[in-house]
Formats: sequence, C-alpha cells, structure tokens
Amino acid sequence: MALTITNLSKTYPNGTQALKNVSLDIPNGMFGLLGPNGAGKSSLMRTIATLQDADTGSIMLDDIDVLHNKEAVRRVLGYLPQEFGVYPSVSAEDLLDHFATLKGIASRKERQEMVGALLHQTNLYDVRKKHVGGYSGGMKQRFGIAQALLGNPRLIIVDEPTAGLDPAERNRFHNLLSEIGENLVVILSTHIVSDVSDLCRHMAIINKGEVLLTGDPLSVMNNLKGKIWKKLIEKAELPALQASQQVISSRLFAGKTVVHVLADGAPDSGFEAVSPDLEDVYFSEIQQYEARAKNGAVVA
Amino acid sequence: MFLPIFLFELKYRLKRPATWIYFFLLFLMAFLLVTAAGGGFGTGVNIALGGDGQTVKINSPYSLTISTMVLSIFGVIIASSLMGNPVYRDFEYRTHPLFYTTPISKWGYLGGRFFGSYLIAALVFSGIGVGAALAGVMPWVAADRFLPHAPAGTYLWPYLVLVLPNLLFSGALFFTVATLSRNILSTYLGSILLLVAYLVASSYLQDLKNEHLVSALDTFGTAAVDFTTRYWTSAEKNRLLLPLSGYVLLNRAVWLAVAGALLGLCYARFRFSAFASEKVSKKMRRAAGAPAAELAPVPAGGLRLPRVAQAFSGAMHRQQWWSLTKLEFWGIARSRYFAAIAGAGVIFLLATSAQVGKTFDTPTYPVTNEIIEFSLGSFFLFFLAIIIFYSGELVWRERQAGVSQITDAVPVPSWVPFFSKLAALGLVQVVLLVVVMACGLLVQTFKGYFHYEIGLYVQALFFYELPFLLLMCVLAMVTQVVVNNKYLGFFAVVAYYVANLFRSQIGLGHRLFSYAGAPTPGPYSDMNGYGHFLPAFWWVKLLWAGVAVLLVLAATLLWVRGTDATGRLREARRRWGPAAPPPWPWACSSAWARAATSSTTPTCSTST
Repeated sequence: MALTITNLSKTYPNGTQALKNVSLDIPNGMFGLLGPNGAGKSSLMRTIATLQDADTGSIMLDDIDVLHNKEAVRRVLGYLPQEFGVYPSVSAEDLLDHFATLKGIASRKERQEMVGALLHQTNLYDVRKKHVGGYSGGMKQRFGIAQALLGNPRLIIVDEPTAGLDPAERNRFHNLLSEIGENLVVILSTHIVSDVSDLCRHMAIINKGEVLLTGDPLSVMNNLKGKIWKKLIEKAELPALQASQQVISSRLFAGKTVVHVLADGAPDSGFEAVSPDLEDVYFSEIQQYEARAKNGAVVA
Repeated sequence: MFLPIFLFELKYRLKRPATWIYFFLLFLMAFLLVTAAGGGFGTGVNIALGGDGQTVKINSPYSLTISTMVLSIFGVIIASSLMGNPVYRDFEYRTHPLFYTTPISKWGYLGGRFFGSYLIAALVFSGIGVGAALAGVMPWVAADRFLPHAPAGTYLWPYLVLVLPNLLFSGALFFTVATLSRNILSTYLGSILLLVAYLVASSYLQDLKNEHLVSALDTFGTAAVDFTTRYWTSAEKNRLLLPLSGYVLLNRAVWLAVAGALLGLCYARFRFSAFASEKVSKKMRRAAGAPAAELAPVPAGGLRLPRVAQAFSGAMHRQQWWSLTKLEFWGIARSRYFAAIAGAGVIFLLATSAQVGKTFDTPTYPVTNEIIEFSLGSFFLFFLAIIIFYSGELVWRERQAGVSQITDAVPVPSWVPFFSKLAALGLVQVVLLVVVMACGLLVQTFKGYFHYEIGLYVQALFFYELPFLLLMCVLAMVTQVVVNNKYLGFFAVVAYYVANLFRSQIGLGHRLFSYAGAPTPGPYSDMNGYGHFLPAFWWVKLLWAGVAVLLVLAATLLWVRGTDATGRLREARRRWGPAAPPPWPWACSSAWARAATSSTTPTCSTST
C-alpha cells in the first residue's frame, strides 16, 4: 500500500491558495506531515480523506484514484479529523457501534467484538457507557482514534491529534499510534516537532501550501550536521545578529536568549557547534522559506 | 458603563442583516395587507382588518389601529428572535468569559443590551407603519377606499400606544427567558407557545362578564381596544385616534408592570458566571469527571483487533439506512422541543374542541368526519412547525454536532443519509397522526358520542393526510439540502407557504400548481364517503409523487458531503455516473397528462 500525490493544487473561493503543486510519495508506515498553523496540512488531509476536491493534480492509493473513486477510498480509510464533535447524549459504546455499521460491519457479533477490543485498547472500556460529550480532551482523542481503527483500514489519517493534550496524555497517544501496524499507510499531521521525531520514519515539512522538504528524520538531521551553531546572548543583541546571520531560532533560557544559527562554519568564537535535531531542521526550512519569500517580494 | 454597551449594541445590531430582514418582513406584511384591502390584487381578494374601505376607510385611524395591532401580535415571533439574542449571543459565540471577567456592572451589561435591543426592535416594528403608509399611496390601489387625508398621528399613535408597550412586554419576557435559561430554542418555542396560549385564552376571555378584568388580562390589548371602540360610528372610526380610555390605560398599566417585574427578576437572578445555575454545573462536572482508569498504560504487545468482514452490498446499505433512520427518529422523538411542539398542538386541539360541530351556534353530533376535519385543521400549524424545524435540524445535524467529517468519510453511498433523515421525518408524521387520532377519539368520548369509525380515521389520516405530509417533508428537506443554509432554508419554506396562501389570487389557482395537492379528497358524506372525488385525488397525488421522486433525486445528487460545498455540481455529475437516466421522468409526465385532463372538469366526476 502506498500513496502517491502528484502536483496537487487547491485555491479556496476566498482566494487563499491552500495547496501549491504538492507532490509526495507516502510509503507504508507512519508518515509525519509537519508544518505551522495554516500551512495547508488539514486541507491536504481532507483532500486525501475524500472530504474536498482539488483543483488540479492527482492522488493515487495504489491503483485507486482518490479524487474520482471516493467510494473505494472510504472502504479502506480510517480518519480522525482535527476537530470533531459527537451526537449529544450517546454513549461511547453505542456511537462506536453506529460507526461500525456505517463502516460496513454487518454482523452484530463482529461489531461487538471489534468495539469491545477497541475500547479495551484505548482504555475507554470502563467509561464506555458514558456520553462522549463529557469526555476529557485526551479521552476524546482516544475515542477518535478508536473510531478511525474500526473495520480494517489500510489508510489511516490523523489530523493534529495531539494538539491541546497534556504531556502524559500525549505520551499515551503516541504509544497507541505506534502500535498501529507497519503494513498500512498512517499519515500524521502535526505542528509539534517531537510528534514526528518520536513516531515517524518518513516525513515532510510544508508551509503555505508548499512542500519544503521530504525525507526520513535521521537523514534530514544528518544533512545539517556541523551547520548549527548555538550562542547565549543578551536580548538586545538579537536584532543585530539577525541582520548579520541566518538565525533559525531563538528562545529564552534563564533570562538570556539562546540562538541557533545556520552557517557552514562558526560565525565567531562565541558560538559552539550543536548536533542538529529535528526542530533545527524544521526552523531552518521555515526560516529559509520566509527569507526566499521576502527576497522574492523585494525583487518583484 | 451603560452607555458604551448600549451604543455598541445599537451599532452591532444595525449592521446585522437580520435586523433589516425583519424590518422588511413586517414592512412587506403591512404593505401586502393594505394593498390587498385596497384592491391592488383585483376585486377577487377580500382581506380587510378593521375597515373594508366602504364606509370605514382603509387608512382610517380605526383600521390602522386594528391592523397594526394584529400584525404586531404575529410579530411576537420576530420579537423573540430580536430580544432573546442579546445576552444569549455571548454564550453562542463563547465570548462570555471575556465579558464576565471585565469590571462591568450588571446594570450596564443587562441594561445596555436590553435597551439597545429594544430600540432596534422598535425600529424593526416601525416597518408596519411604513409599509401600510406606503401601500396606501401606490397607484394600483382604489382611491375611493382611502381617506384623502388621514388625521395626524394615524400611523404614529397605534405604534406608541400599542406596539411599543407590547414590544416591551414580549421583549422583557424573551430577554429574561433567554438570559436566565441560556437556551435560545426555549425562546423560540416560548414565542409560539405565547401566541397559541394568547389565541386560546382570548377565546375563553370573551365569555367573561367583567369587562375590566378582561381588559386587564388581555396581554396585547385587543380586548381593551375592542371595548373602547365597539359603539363607534363609521364617521368616528374615520376620524378619531384611539382614546386612552379606562380599559386601555388599565391594560397598558398591568402589562407594563408585568414587563417591569420580569426585568427585575432578570436583574436579580442574573449572575456573571459561566453556568446558568449551580445545578447545571454539578451535572457537567459529574459528566466530565475523569475516572481512575484514564491513567492506566496502553497494553503492550501491539494492537490486537479482531478481523471483521466488511460488506459493501445493497443489503448492507439498506441495513445502514435503517440503522441511521432509527438514530434520527429517536433523535427527534427524544428531543424536548418535539414534545413541546406536539404538546402545544394537543393542548390547542383539546382547548378549541369546545367549538367543534356547531353550525350557527346549533350543536350537532361530533361525527367522525367532522372531528377529523377539525383535528387536522387545528393541528396543521403544528405539523408544519415540526416539518420545517426538524427538516433543518436533520439536514444540519452532523455538521452542527461537528461529527460530519467522520460520517462523511465512511463508506456509505450518499443516498443513505438523506433517505434515512427523510424516513425519520416521515415516521414522526405517522406518530403525530396517531396522536391526532387519539385526540379525536378522546374528544368524541368526552362529548358522549361513542360511534367511533376507526376505519374512517385510518382512511382519512393515513391514506389521505399522510401522503400529503410526506410530500411536504420531501419539499422541506430538499429545500434545506439545496439552499444549504439552515435559516435561509426555513425562510424559503415559510415563504413558500405564505405564497401558497395567495396562490389563487395571483392567477395560479389551478391544482397542477399546488404542490402535494390537497390533504383530503374533498367533502365526505355519510352516504357515499368521498365518492367520485377519489380518482382525481389519486391522480394528482401520483403526479406530485413523481415530482417528489425527482426532488429527492436532486437532493441525493446535491447532498453536501465533505467540507467544501463549492464543487457540488461537479460532484453531482460524478454521483449520477455514466448509467442511463432512470425512467421516472416519463412515468411522471404521463401522470401529469392524466391529472391535467381529469382536472379540466373541476369536480372530476368522470375521471377514468
């Protein structure tokens, strides 16, 4: 099972260009789609999940044309939307049973087995009689992944599943995701870098509807080896440094500012080399993209 | 603090389209009413409130007092929407934490919102006077039905004496209910209940002998106006503004006091808190209570899920359809608004049943066909309310609950959700007809009439009325799907009904223009039943069933699936597929031909 996206573009009626010529090859296993808020991640996820059309381009799931043969995609799809609600006053068990019917599980016995197993796996069995509307954020996300696993999906899409979860709950969710089999396509979109570095063997970074980078997390980090430099500076020095160097990130640490700079050699003696992590990759890509966009605007 | 909130409310509401839509609606109602009374639609139309334009002119103070008053009473529905909104809005858009943590005073917040909205409502209701005045100077009305110069204050005085105080009372009521319950639907239903209760109560008030008591109890002042002007001559009706008689003053004083008491109650009970009351908050806390199991780790060793067989056959889709139909049906049947509307209908039916079977004040036997006709007549508005309201709720249910992205991505064909919602609404009609039948039997029993004709009940309710209601369900549901905006959909269906009332006046009286045909085949006789009316009835039903099939087909093709409704036509073409078009259009057109020939003789005695 593999998903191939070719030259996908989408412009919304209000003029926002959500996707610009997106091409991606997504193999089996967990694929991380990383990007800031508003990058077009959800637009891409919804397009793959048959919920909206693209203007141009194609998506192939093996030999299924996703944009035209939606019915065939839906038969193998498990989808957890970024935000979802539930029918009021329906218990988790009843709602999962209802979704199981919609997914085509005809036998009541099989539905009960499947729902029971999923409730156990997601640790919701003890609260299965409670209304989903009263669940906490973490429980609701686990319910969401349970409904996405109903049937035997071979393509699973989870859109920003960890946004708003506390660290413990996020950990639990990661464990759950990592248990999902290897021989199906799982696409995880997120703006949290560690989601991808913890879970994914393949990834892409997108911003403003464009794919900036694809690869596996280890090799993209390797590509930056020896190019990331760190320095502790005063906050007031930051603007000057930004003007002279390619500052990819700056954060506060004990009242001072820690900056990461992208450069082939040490900019000055105050810098020390750090081994790049995925966050450096992410910020350098986004920063370079913004710089290109700015220069382009100046030239134009 | 009062002034900034008051001014913000005014500015905000003036920019909302709803304000101007409501203004235009009232304007239009008054305009049409005066145009119709003034002969603008030809001589066939004879609607007149107050004067008929003969001796008492249409723009006389008396006529305008009556018509302004009646329109403003029906405007209660609009008032509920305008006056329930101001505080509820903060909960709807979840802005209440922002407001409730600022140092504003209760008086500033409630007062500013209430009086700002009241001023807007006053503006909206001025549409009645403007519409009536404008219609009177149009070239197409008959000049001899109007006074050349209406006395000064003809349009203004009823507005000041009747509309504004009525609005203050209904506004205070809806504002208080919406603010304290924080539930907008209770306000809408409250307005319908208020109207029904008012209509029922006024028919009972007429029997009271004490005129001052009747004046005082009549919420909107119709009785007081009636007592004040009942002995007026035509000349007086043409000349005099409504005097502030004892009746009028008493009535206005009582209901302004009630309005003040309501606002006082609202002020006293309102809290700047996230929950309407502690009770709710406990319930929410209980529901959200995190159980201990939440912290247990995920079992190691991979997900062990049973293999299941998935079917994507026609039989499975029918199973899904039935499963969804049950879900939707219980969703309606368990909702308390359904109980409220149906309950109001039953109360109205039973309360008005005292009048049934009286022909010119001569009592007759409550025979079954009389009871059926009466019951369906009094319940009709409630059928309509349920069809219109729930068609919107059903079509928007998944999107409102936020579950649509999940349900739209499951492998069911797009006809399944629409057909199940339609079927659920149809089942609701069956249930309501059973309720109507039970009411009918109850009324007959209470009147001491025991010759129940169950067969006739079943025939009239389930063979003749039910198809009509089902066709109405189709129309309302399809409208909601096509329009794809819940409130615009409501408006479109209501506009259709209003237009349908005037159908024959604008030259579309032919039965082939009447969607769904008639709810009954025609007059029933104890001698030969519905007799020769039946064949024509069924031909017309067959025709509209064909149209309904086409409408359902269109709705299935246009059913919104996914988050992007802009590509619906392209999607419809895809759903249509390469298959040959279905044969119904031809079947339908032949039914049209039969119905057209059989209706050339209006009584349809020889339809073959």
